[in-house]
Amino acid sequence: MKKILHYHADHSRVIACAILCVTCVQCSSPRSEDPSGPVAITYWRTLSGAAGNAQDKLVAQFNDSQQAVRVTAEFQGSYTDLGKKLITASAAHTGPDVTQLGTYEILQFVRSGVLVDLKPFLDGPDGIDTSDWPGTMREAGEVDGGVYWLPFNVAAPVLYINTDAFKTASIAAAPKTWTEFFADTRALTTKDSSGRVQRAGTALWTDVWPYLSAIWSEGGELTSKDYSRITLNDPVAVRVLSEFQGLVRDGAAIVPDTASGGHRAAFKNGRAAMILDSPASFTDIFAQSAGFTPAVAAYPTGAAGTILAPGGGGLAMLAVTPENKRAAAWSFIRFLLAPQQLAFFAKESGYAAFTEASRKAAGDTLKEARFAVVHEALPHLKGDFSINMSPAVRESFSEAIQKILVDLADVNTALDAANAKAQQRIQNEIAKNKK
Amino acid sequence: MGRRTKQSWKRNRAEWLTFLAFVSPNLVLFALFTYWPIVYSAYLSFMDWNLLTARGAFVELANYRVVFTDPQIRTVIGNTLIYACAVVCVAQALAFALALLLNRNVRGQVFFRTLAFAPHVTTTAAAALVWVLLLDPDLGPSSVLYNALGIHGPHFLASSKLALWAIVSIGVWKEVGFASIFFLAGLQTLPRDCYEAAELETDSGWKVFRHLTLPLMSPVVFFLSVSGFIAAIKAFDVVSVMTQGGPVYPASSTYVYHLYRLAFQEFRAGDASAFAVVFFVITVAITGLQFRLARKWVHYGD
Repeated sequence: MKKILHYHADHSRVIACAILCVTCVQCSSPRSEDPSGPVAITYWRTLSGAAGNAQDKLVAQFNDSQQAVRVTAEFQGSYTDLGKKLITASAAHTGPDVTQLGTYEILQFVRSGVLVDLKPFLDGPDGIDTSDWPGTMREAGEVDGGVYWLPFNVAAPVLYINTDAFKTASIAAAPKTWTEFFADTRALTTKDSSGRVQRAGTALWTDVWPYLSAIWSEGGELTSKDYSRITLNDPVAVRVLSEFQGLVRDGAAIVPDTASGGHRAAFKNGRAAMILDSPASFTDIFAQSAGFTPAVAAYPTGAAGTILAPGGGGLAMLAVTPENKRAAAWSFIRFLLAPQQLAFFAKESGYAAFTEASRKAAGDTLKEARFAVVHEALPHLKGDFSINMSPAVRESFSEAIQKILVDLADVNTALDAANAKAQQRIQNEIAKNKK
Repeated sequence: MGRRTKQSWKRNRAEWLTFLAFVSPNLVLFALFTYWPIVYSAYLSFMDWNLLTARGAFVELANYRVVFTDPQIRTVIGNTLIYACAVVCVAQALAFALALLLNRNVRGQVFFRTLAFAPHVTTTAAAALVWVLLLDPDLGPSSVLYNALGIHGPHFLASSKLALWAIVSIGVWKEVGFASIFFLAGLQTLPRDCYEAAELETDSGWKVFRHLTLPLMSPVVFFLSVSGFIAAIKAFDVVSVMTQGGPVYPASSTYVYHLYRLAFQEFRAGDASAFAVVFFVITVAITGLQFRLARKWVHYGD
């Protein structure tokens, strides 16, 4: 027995040592990189389907075009998943060198030193000519004088219409103004003899994005870029959101839940005659719409003209990228934003070739009606993501929209409450940022 | 005497080392992935940290003040308790009934037992997606029923009043099979002689159930109440897949989903950690209460 115990004890020591050694080896082995070989750059991306495949092709093109830098693209899920993984990676002081990034995280990441200021690269000898970028798109990623985010997969909001429903309702063309949109939505709604809605005029979603352009185009303003002025209860916002709520009250608009496919599924299934959405859904919508012919129309315009909130995402370099790799990381960003590559990405994905040079590079391929709608909208983009960038403002306004459209809450009360909440919380955010 | 103690210690030491060698892999994993996060969360609950900077700032009890003044906390705690109580009570009642049925010598008992247990082994996310379709009044199978009745069925997930109940129904569905297997195992170990004695006393099946089966099964009920409640108040995945706390936040949000949202959508790791610590304390308190109350109604065959 004694022998057996000794035997076990000896073995346990050996096992413990082995576990310890393996753990130490695992922990201490660095990512080996041959100093004489190409610089290895990791690129984290989002977007699946055509837009994802197009990015992988661009990475392959970049790797084939030169020998000095080798990029590895890694798909990280949705924008939300990617954002979370970047947060986790940043907490561990690791992560990719270059990343695709939505707009929600920009401000927090910049304030926390997670992103590299790209302005020296942008304006440097190997920079990018941004003179033909539309509207204020270059300013979209500007924080405190630095440029931390550059637009890449840019989307201008569009209106999808069910052309068969329009013919049945004897409406000749898609609505050009918001007033026409609200009237057409009611006209396109069909009900059975018992009053049950057969097909709604539109299906709405509770994201901030589709309503922002409507409010801006009607002359409203929700925040200043530095958050010194927050007016989520702007009278124009109250009027516009009251109009949308009126559609829901009348049964002319439905607000489907996201898990069931949301507004997009409602349109594809023929349950709604119009939706306000992104051109990134081109492929899905045109391939999957059942029993009718879909078309894309320009986003409606308002009393103040056409002012559009850009959607999509951009590119950023992470501060964990060592100084000696940053030039290589920049060369990859510059490649993705070159006219030829933006044109290629637009053709493959449905996103916009947002610079004048890239549209020229695309030639006739982007003249097809649905692409033309997007590209004609580009000059009207307003590169202001302030609603998205502050969690205080974004969550307050988003909750108000949910209350207005789903619970049919009083619009004035909901927006007043959202404004008060945002103003109170923005003070905390500003105080924290100052610290 | 001294020599014997020394020898005994030597032997004990060898036994201890053997014991440690066997438990250490698990212990290390628990320490790394369970105990350390608990301790670190407690530390973070006193910090103002956004997950991104190297270090947060010490803010004393400020994060706890945020917890108790959060305008959404009442709804979130209410939703969590409704979900947990409904899942535990309704699922256990149904599971007990199912186990009583399965305990009879029915043909295909194994098949029915497997059928009952299947929901529990189904991934919650996958089950939730299927339920989303089942509940859809326009596209799902329920639409056939609604059309036959000539009514427009409710959009459970698009309604602030109904979304939570859709989530509860999935929780119940998943828990019934799991609990029924435990109840069935319990029923099959009940002493036959007690029942033979009871049959001499009464003809009433209800009386036998009320005064014999139920008390004898109380340890199983207690175990399932404690483990089921702890599992239910941690509900996250079903909320994340089906409603994200909406359709009007926090109409269907649970406590854990709320703190996740604070941490990863609003970058408030300190506040979220304080929420987590409060949650830990609440869970321990409720479990303690369950154990205390158990003395009054749980019978361990004595």
